[in-house]
Amino acid sequence: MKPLFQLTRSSMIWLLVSILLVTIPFISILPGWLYLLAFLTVGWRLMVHSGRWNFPHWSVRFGLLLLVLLGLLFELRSGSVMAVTVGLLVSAFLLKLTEMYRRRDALVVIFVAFLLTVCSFLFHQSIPMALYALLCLIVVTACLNTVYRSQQNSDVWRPLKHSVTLYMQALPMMLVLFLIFPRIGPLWQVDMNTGQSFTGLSDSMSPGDVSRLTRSAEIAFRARFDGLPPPENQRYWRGLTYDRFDGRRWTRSELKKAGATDSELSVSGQKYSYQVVMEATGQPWRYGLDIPMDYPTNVRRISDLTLVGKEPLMQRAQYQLVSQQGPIKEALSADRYSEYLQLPQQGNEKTRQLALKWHSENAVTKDFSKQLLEFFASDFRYTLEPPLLLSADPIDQLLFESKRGFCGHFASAAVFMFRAAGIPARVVGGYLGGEMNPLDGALTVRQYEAHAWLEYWDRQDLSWHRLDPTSVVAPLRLEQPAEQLFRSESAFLADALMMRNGFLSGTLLKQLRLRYEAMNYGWHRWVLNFHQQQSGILQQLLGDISVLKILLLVLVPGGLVLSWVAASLLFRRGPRKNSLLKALERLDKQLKPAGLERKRGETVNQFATRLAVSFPPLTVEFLDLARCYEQISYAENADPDLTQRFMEIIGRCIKVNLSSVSSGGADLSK
Amino acid sequence: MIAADIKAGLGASIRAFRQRLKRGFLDWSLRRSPRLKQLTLSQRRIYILPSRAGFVFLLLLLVMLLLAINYQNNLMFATTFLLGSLFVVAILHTYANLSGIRINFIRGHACFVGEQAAFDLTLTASGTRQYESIQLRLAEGDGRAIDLLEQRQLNLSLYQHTHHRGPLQAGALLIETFYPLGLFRAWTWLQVDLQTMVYPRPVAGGSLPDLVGSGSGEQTQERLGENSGGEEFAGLEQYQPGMSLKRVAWKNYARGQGMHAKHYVELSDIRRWLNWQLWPELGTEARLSRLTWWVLQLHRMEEEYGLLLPGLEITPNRGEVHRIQVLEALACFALNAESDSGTAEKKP
Repeated sequence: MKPLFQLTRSSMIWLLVSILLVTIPFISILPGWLYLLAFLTVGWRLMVHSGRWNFPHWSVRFGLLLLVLLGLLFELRSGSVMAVTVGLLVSAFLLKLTEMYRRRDALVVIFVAFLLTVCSFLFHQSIPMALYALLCLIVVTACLNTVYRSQQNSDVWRPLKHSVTLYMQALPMMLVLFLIFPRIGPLWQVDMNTGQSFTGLSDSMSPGDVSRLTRSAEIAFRARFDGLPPPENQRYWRGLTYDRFDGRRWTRSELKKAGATDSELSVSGQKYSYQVVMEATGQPWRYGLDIPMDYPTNVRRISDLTLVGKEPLMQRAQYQLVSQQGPIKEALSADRYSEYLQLPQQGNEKTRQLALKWHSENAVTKDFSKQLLEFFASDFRYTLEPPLLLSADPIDQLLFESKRGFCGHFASAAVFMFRAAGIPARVVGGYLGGEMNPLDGALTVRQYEAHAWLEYWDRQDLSWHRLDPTSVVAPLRLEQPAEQLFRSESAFLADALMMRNGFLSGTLLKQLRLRYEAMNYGWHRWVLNFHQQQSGILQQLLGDISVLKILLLVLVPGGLVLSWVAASLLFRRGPRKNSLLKALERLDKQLKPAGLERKRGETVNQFATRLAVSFPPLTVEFLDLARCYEQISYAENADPDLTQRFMEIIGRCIKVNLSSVSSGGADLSK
Repeated sequence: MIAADIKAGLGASIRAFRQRLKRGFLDWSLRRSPRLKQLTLSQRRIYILPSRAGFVFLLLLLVMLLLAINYQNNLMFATTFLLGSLFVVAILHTYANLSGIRINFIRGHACFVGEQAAFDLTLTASGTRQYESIQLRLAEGDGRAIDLLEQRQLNLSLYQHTHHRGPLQAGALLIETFYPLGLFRAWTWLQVDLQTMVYPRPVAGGSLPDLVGSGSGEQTQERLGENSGGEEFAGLEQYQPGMSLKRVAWKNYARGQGMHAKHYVELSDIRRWLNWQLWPELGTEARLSRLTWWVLQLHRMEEEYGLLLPGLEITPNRGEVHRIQVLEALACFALNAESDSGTAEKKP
């Protein structure tokens, strides 16, 4: 007959705590009505726990289950599959609460808790989150431990200690497994959409869009150069280009076209080799410095020389690039040539006329661009909060009336003028700048460093040239970090007021922030993107990789750790002896040759009395010894001096050669 | 219909197969375990396999691994491996929770058919190691869970149902533990070197012919007077709790000399014979049951009684030792000769 395993009250509490801890990371993801369910079930459970209510009737539970399923089905139509899956797990949890009283029920909850902890990494992957997840694992494991504990054991912290020990012992093997487990590609297509929203550039741009990004201090990507990074005013990170204009918005048309091969174009400038860790954007493009010449195989370079991945980037990615700066020599086919001249049929007439006028004055494209820059340099102002351009001819309004704008405005107007003058041009969206972290040498580029500029195609040297009107409107934008330039503008970092102080303030906070970011970068590189480093590390570690070496790498540390654990578990030394017993043992050693050592089961009192009889000269000492021992061991508040006295007596007894005393019987010399 | 039948049949045969497998394993492990009075659990005796929860946990790990691979999520990998390592470490912990325990088999307690026979044993922890949630169960008895934490030694009794009279060998002892995480079950089957006697179930009924001795030989039914010989003082002994109040020397007690009991060299009594032939209308077991009841009665009344069974005679006497002798004789009566189906002793 097997005993019926009922849950103890203490493990019930542990279960509730586990459920709470594990659910917290999903608060922002779960549909709101699940909280209602949580309150209901947890409350009910607590009432049952305190003995006031009964478990709900099965029909109530069944009804709740149906409602939850319906609700989740409804969510499925709007939310992402992943969020709904998590919702399903969480509600399974909550519903189980209403009928949990046996060990098996607890196991279901605990296993779901493990699964949910793992799933939480779909949504958050920061260092604090990882630590939090570890805490969850420890608590859930402690909970599992309480389920298998006997009723009478009521030490509250013991399961927690036990669980921590278990994890400490499991850690080395986990590290080895993490290091060597082959990272194969996804086995099947999964929905990466976690329902998150992203800040960043989008695939259409109206001139005001870029300034919106300056409200956010979120990291766009980080880069680490193998050599020196480019100077600050040359850190143009290209993201995407816009080539179609409808009078208000720029969009892109050439996503699908394959890019030119390297042989068809030549770039003359400096080469940079670097590694990028890019945050998720929910968009297919990847950022890179100027023109990427070497790029990984899972992205391709399209015709505007930007990088596009196969899928929208739903998770942080890491890639190695080699880029080159400078004019791009590329032959334009006729239809692409005309594409880059596309403009709305009418509108912005004043601008068109000005462009045509300049064109007639400057036969050379370079001179045209120079004149354009001079025009922008004259009396334009760079601001985060430009007046709204609501007229039918927004570019006219910008150039001839308001004269205030952000990079997007200037780039858009300049491209308009190039095209009006018959020069192919395109708007480029990306980032300008990046903050160098001296602690790890990584460049951090944030959303507020979003930028727009343009590229025009020069007929004379058949090359694309970069032109940044902002550089003349606000030359400081290129020289200074964005946060210094914008510090007086209230819209800057308006969405991250906490950060705003951190970014604008000086030394100490900045130091802390840099340290944290360096740590984060290491975390992203070595942990979150370990699969992109793995083969390199293994090669460094092992030379060339062979099955034998990998096996050794697993078995040797694994075996060592396990045998150490086993040894610590199985070969514990005997009970720790107190100083009195140790002293007695010393005495024992002296007595052994004479066969007078303490017998099994003999109390100290009996032992000393026996010795007192055996060694008449020491009778007083031995009787005193027995008295001291009993006082120390059993008296309620023993005199602390007694211990010292005890030791003294033992010392004196040992000094006398006891064995000779007993055998000789006569030699009583001290 | 037919499909359901097949399904049911399949289920039954799988169950039967599992039963046979279990039985086979039990026999095998018992063959490896000699009967000993004292033994220490070590790797030669302890078996360890994932429990049902452990297999579910493995399945869970597989799901986690698939998630990690498909989402290319290294933190998921890390968690999966951490839990995987935990699984491996749990093997050692579960094993350590059993190994090193010393078991002494102390004694068995006799009982009557239908009662539970108790077997005493002592568990001793090894060194400073702590043991938690260890379940002990005799093959046909109820389980008990014990801890060995601060307490290094534990005496406990395990109970076993009894169905037949006669000598009873304690069934195989199962010691198992799921601690600490329930992912593994470490267990061992031990041969318990303890026997006890199961007496026939006492059934009230019939009456003894008053003072009739129907023994085979020269039955004596002398009645020794209580005060014969005037040994009053010589026979005073210290009163012990449990002695009959009838024997208390109240006079002495009233004099304030303390509680004493009168001790008689030859207590006056009637010698009775419990004879197999008394109730010819009953079957064997019923007769034994009635005889057992009478033994208990007579013992309670502190009378002297003897037993006459075919081929066995126990001269009248009284006292605990005598009672046990008589009861054992009743328990073992005609065990070998009688129907094999009713073998009292479970096959070891």
